Amino acid sequence: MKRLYLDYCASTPLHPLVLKKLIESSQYIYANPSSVHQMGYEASCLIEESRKVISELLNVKSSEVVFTSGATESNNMAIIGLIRKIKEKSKVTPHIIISQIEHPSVYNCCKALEKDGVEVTYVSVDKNGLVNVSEIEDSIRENTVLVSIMHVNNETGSIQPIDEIGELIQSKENICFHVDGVQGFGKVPLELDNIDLFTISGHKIGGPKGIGILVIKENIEISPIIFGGSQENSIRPGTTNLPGVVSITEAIKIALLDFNKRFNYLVELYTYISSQIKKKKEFTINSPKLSLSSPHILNLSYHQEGITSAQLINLFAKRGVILSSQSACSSKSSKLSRVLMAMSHNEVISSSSIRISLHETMTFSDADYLLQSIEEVLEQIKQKKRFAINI
Amino acid sequence: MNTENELAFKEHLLYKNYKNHQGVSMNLHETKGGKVLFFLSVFCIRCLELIPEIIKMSDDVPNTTIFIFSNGTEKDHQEMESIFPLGVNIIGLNDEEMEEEYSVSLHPYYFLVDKNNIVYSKGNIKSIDHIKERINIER
Repeated sequence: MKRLYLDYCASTPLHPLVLKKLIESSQYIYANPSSVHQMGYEASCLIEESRKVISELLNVKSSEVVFTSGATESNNMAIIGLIRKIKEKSKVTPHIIISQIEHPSVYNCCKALEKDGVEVTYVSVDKNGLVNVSEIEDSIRENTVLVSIMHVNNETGSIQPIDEIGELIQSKENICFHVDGVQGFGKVPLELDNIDLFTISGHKIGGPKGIGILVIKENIEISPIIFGGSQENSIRPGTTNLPGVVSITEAIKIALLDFNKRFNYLVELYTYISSQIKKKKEFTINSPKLSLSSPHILNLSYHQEGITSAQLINLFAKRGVILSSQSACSSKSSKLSRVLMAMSHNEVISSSSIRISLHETMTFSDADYLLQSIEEVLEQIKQKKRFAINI
Repeated sequence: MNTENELAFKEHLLYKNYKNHQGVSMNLHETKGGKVLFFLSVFCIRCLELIPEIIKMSDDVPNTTIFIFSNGTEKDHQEMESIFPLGVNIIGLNDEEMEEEYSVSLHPYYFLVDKNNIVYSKGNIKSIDHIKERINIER
């Protein structure tokens, strides 16, 4: 049976050039970059060289690029690190603004901070999953210290008005702007000029798991959230993951190279697939129109009651099509997508959603296989065989 | 082996009457022989993936009756019944009932019950083979 992986939002295969760098660096440059001997020095030079390359590609300073273990750590560092620093300097209770649809690494981080007395405002989103900049502005208080909004939503692909929000925040004093750039980086253009803290994930752009970046603009101070040596200017101690650093550098180069060609191809693919799905009355497309959405994410729901996301995922998996959605394997976890509930306020839509994420290596023949699978799944549901084990 | 989930002491199977989706009454206590209780959620992908394995298992463990507690709808249970062999019982229980009656909050979950209605093993399902092994050991 053909296997068609369409969960690129969750993780991507290593790009061949990245794999080469990963193997070479793991095999030949194994000294601890913090060691004082010659081999350690050579390793640390390679890290600094990588940092420089990344900073030039992102148009930031070298000193502003911090390597982490991944986006979850970067997001936690940005938010908790900033709040800790602020609390060191002021007794005023800090206030954070995020959207209702942030990634769990931001959302749950803020929920945890709320338990510690930090005030958090969760701004709503519209039916397209977009925040209203005026609502963010109206939510700003005297004690607001941070606004954190993701660039592209990982479930629906909605692109937030980051430039507009950045300009708003720049006009205010003492407020930092953090952007979770994980899903948007390399897919949707973005300048970092008005962004103070920016998160990138390695394994979302053809790099390995276990490496990420937090860009911290030089005028922003954060406290470390883990403690140890003095690596990464003591902001993120721990032996630097040199193979990860070298790999993410290569991945970033590739992600930004031929950006337009890749973007245009994804748009073509997305348009082809979505135009066919729109003909199926059983499905609702939750992702907004392309001008408001990244072309690598397509989220749909089965809009008749009684079908769960898990059932849909299972039916597609039996055809070798690997999709994603929420899976509630605990009675305490929600069966509804928090993101889709915020957009639609509709439980049927929110409990039956599936996410298709596209990649530049996907062909139109793959797209046809996906569409054929959709037909077959719909037929199987009609025949009341959603638990059928043979197809 | 999922030893951390095994009971430190034997507990009695809950004495309760259930009705399956067809309205047929069943009382687990009155079912002779050993029993396997599966707790599945239609919102849980792993649970759905297990269904073919449970179907295969029913052939491998004669003298053991399978009960499936599911939080699906009546339609779900009608469809499930059509694919499970005769003798596999499907009972609708929502999440709150599973937690209240069996302290089950994670899915997929299992109980192994002997012919005297004593629960001798329970836990999260890592593999059906493990469950079959436990049944065979108990025999």
